[in-house]
Amino acid sequence: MLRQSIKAVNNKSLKPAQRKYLEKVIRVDQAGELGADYIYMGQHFVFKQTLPKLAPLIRHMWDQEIHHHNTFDTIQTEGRIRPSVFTPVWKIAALGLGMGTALLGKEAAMACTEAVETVIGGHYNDQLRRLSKEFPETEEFVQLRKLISEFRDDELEHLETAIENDAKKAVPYMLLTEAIKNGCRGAIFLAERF
Amino acid sequence: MIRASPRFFTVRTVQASLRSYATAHTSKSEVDLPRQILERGLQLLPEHGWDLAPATRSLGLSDQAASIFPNGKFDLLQFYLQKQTAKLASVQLKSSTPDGCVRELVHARLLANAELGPYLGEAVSMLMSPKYLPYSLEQLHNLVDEIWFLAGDKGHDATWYTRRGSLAMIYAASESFMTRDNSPNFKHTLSFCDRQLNAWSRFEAAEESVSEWFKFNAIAAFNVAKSLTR
Repeated sequence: MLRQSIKAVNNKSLKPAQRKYLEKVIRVDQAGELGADYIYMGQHFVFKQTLPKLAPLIRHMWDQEIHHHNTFDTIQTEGRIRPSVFTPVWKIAALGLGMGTALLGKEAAMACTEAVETVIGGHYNDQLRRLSKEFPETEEFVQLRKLISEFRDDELEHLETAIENDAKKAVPYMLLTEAIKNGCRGAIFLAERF
Repeated sequence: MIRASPRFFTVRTVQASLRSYATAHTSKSEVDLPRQILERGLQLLPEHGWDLAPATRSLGLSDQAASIFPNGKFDLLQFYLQKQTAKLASVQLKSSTPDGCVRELVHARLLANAELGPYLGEAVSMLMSPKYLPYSLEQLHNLVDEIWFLAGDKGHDATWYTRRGSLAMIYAASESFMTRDNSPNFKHTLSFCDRQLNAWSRFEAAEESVSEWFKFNAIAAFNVAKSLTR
């Protein structure tokens, strides 16, 4: 699936606009998975000290994000796409967000996961829609879509885990989730372009 | 009616013959003609420099044919740079470290300029002229991106930019140095380039150790704080 996705990105018969869109997709997805990786890193670091019971659950989600992150790193290198200019900013912001919400408590951390995964899942869906509408039905593009939809399913699983773990009981729930969602949207806007 | 049908017939045959003519011969050679001129231009490069007129003349075309290239000499130069960048993929790399590979690839690329002889200076001055600067920067970026890719660089953050930026500066400086270099096999150019590359890798190593040191101390400080609060 990874090989085929790299082939899809490097496909020479694509129009310049199509290639440009794929570059945007890989750049923003790489930045997003880096963010997810660092959020869970921060949460895991805090919960290991404060709530060791919750650490294995975070660890499981973190491992999946590390896999996603490595996959997009490989596609970015092999596809000759530049990474986001703001990568160091994403690292610090994501680590801070993860540690900050974990310090607020279990509910806030789960609300953070819920907000992030809602935006990311929707964003992956937008990409999938456009990838199936504007790109050929060849094997490599089918595989690229399969890769992205698999990752989307993982993210939505995290979303359900978060809701099962009392994400809705976070106080102030609305303020916290909406602020994080808007932060994510802003980050997506920037990472796609720069 | 009697008149109309043969006319109709002729029009159709002309169209049919035009179509077959267009697909079988002309369209292909027409599409390839600019490329043919550029290829010939590269062959004649050591004698005639960046001028395209000798190439069109030797293909049996009029001098006017060179005017399909809006930037004239610079178009040939761009074609040359693209070809040289593509050639790097076939260099046999002996080093095991990325830094060693980068050095080999930069040397290979610089030594390829040897065949230009006196026309290297003209090439460098064209590349630096403000009119062509956006294009030359793009070519320079393609070259250093190719070098880092072939050397196996896996930069996913700011290093992606710093590595490409500094290698581009080193390469451009070495190429300018080369225009005034008369030493056999461009020994001075290669040693100039090596000095810059060494300085860069020392700087990168220093930067890495400093950030390692900060990370280590942050973890140590956290552990001290933790042991004090329990």
